[in-house]
Amino acid sequence: MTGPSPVERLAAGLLTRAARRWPDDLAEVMLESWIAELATMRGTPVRMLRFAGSILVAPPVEEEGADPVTWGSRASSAARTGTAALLTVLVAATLFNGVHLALHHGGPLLSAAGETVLVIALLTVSALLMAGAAARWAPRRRVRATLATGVAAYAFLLAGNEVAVMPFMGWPDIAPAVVTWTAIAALTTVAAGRLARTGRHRLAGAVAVLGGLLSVVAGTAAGALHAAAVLGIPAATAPAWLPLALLPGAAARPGFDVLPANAAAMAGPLLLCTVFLTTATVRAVRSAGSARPVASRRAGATARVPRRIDPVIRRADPAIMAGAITAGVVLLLADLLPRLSPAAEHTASRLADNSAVFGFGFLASPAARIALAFALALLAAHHATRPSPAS
Amino acid sequence: MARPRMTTPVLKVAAAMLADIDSEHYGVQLMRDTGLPSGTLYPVLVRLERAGWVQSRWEQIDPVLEGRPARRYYVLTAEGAAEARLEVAAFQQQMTRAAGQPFPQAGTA
Repeated sequence: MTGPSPVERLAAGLLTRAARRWPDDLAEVMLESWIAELATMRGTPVRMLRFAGSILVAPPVEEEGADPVTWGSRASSAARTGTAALLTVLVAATLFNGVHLALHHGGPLLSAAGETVLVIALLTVSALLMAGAAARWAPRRRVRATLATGVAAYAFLLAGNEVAVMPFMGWPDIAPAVVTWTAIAALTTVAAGRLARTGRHRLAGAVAVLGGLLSVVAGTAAGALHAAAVLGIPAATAPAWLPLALLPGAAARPGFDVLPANAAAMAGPLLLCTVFLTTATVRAVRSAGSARPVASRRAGATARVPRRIDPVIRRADPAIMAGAITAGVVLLLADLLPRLSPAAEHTASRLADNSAVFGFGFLASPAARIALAFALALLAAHHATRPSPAS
Repeated sequence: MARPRMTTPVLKVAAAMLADIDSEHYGVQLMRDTGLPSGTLYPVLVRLERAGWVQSRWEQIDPVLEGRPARRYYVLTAEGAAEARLEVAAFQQQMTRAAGQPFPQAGTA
């Protein structure tokens, strides 16, 4: 009898991965039965991979008594995650641009030290707002939320540079920044989760905070490397680029006038997104520590998956109404306000041309406004179908 | 035990098992008989087993002699067979009615 071929080993690996998503009481039995079926398909590699791939990508059976996980519920969950990630990035960018605008208007009245204090105070308030948002709307699947936030940040930064006022804000700058940030943030979330599952909650919290910090420092450095190479700034100064980007006074240093301003456009929103995700992870780690010593993977899933919607709400009328009204109001305001008020028109055009704030250039496109309205509609619909805490 | 939700894949599996009610069935064979992919079939089998319509057991073989691991066999229970017959018959009746009736014409409803 010959040993398993590489394809059989790959298919068995896929099945092992799939079995992890099945309820604990079934995972082992199902994996054994799948491996047995796989053994009868030797010599037909495509069939083996199709068999394993189908089980891997299809929704696993639900926990006993829970609602089935369907492709529809998966799509709805993905839409919720994507919408939440997009809104997290938009809120983070809005807050950071608020800090930037306050410095722009208040800076001339303050000393250099006063400017620094103002920025630190406003960044602290923004971070507290993001942390508060994470406490209220913490994502349940944090690794997925981190990856979705990375995608949303990339799309936001790339689309936001419609009017290219920033010299180093193309994909060679944004992609390394966002990829580095996303990879470190996601690995941090995974590591913190694993430590928490083994009962090391304090260490998990420390890893979440330090990993979050590292993700922003490394993301900023990766995003500014291209600019630094062009401007002749030594890469060895990279660890200083984040504080220089966030705090005023960098322009006083020779050679550092363009790089920090450019890096700030990426580092600011990423920093506040990190605060949001890190808070969510630390809260999850803490609640895992206080609720159950070393809970099983599926015990967590039981609390997660069977979110039953009230039968009346299941008809979706409130969701459709809330979503449609929100989308309508957003689109109406976006279209009407600039026509009714010259000040609003001026603000809208400054939003889109990146001259006052950076990153909202995409609002110049009607398609992007529709997409934003749709995202807000989805959020409103999600809240309309959210079961009350008492239910 | 909760009744399984009667979806098309559930009906296909029930019909395939009814077609050869005395035999035990295994995954790949049911995939062939129903045309369902493995990712759809196995959750259906678990739901039917939870509902008490199906029982499963390991194949009694010596894996070393056979050169392969033992399969998981599935068989309809008496209750499952009775319920499945009713559901499949009801579905077939519905399909026959739908196929046999002309579509309503405008103004005749």
